[in-house]
Amino acid sequence: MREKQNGTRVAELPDAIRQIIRREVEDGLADFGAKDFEADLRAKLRRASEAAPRRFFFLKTAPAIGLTLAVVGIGAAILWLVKEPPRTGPNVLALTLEIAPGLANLEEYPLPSAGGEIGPASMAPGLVGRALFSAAGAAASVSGPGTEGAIKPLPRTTLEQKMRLLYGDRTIERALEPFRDKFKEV
Amino acid sequence: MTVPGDELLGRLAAYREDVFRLCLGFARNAAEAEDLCHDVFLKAFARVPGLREPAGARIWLLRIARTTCLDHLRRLRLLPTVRVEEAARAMADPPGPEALSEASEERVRLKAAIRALPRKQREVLVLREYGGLSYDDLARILRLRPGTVMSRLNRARKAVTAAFKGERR
Repeated sequence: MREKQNGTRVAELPDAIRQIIRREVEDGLADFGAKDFEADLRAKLRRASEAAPRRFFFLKTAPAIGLTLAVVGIGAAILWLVKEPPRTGPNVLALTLEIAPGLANLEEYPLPSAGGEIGPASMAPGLVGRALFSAAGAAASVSGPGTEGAIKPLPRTTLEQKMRLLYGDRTIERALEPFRDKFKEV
Repeated sequence: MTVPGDELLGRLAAYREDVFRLCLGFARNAAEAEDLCHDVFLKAFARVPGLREPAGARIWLLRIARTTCLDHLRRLRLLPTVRVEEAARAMADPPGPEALSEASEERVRLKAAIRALPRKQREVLVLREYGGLSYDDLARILRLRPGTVMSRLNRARKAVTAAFKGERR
């Protein structure tokens, strides 16, 4: 059987199926109509309106606060890193040297000239190397002008001397204590 | 969400049976349809400012009903089909053949056949057969041309008939 609409023929459902649907709808509507829909709806609306501020806080306010703090924190960290370039702490340095003593190999890195030109070491990887390189450069610039344009090799120093150069005397003793016997001179 | 006034609630609640019929077509049973119906009205009250033409409130409401039901079906697909406690209960006390009447058995089979339809065909079939909507209303709700609605309905009816008869054999 087909129903016709605006000249287009559309297949019809068999009577058996239509009856099943009709019966299901009638049964459902009978149950549904027996209940006080508006009262139920009002109760649900009231619950939803009470829950709305809490949900708003967890879905909108809390993530917004978190995001703001994260942005401010990252911004502050960037500013701080720009102002105070990171230095390796004595404990981390000592641990790093224990794991990979090769990192402290500085023979291949030339010192900067007294004029302050940056040598290839500025791009070289290596935790200690870079830190020591910059510290030695700073010390050289403070101590006065050397030979103009000359590149001196880094003096051979003990690990302790290097760390004193980097961190001063106050914190170094404690950090070096457990490793004092373990390291050979670089 | 603010609780709507009596006038607005009464005006929209006048379409509750239309909404319920549509929800029943998508839901697995009447209880689920009733919950869906409430959800539809909760959504509708939250979106009342989006109702531009009060005269088109019925179509607007049925459109919300359709999207709510489709969202519900999508969520159902993400959940396990049978809950553990239901399965345990069914194993402990399986329903005998007499427990399921022939009518409800046929209803379940038809629901399964409708659920097996592709989404576009299923929604047009449900809106037409359960909702009793005209082709024009269908076209407005689905934002389609009447010709497209009819061709989808034609395919949906053929498919569901074939599936239902195939199951019966």
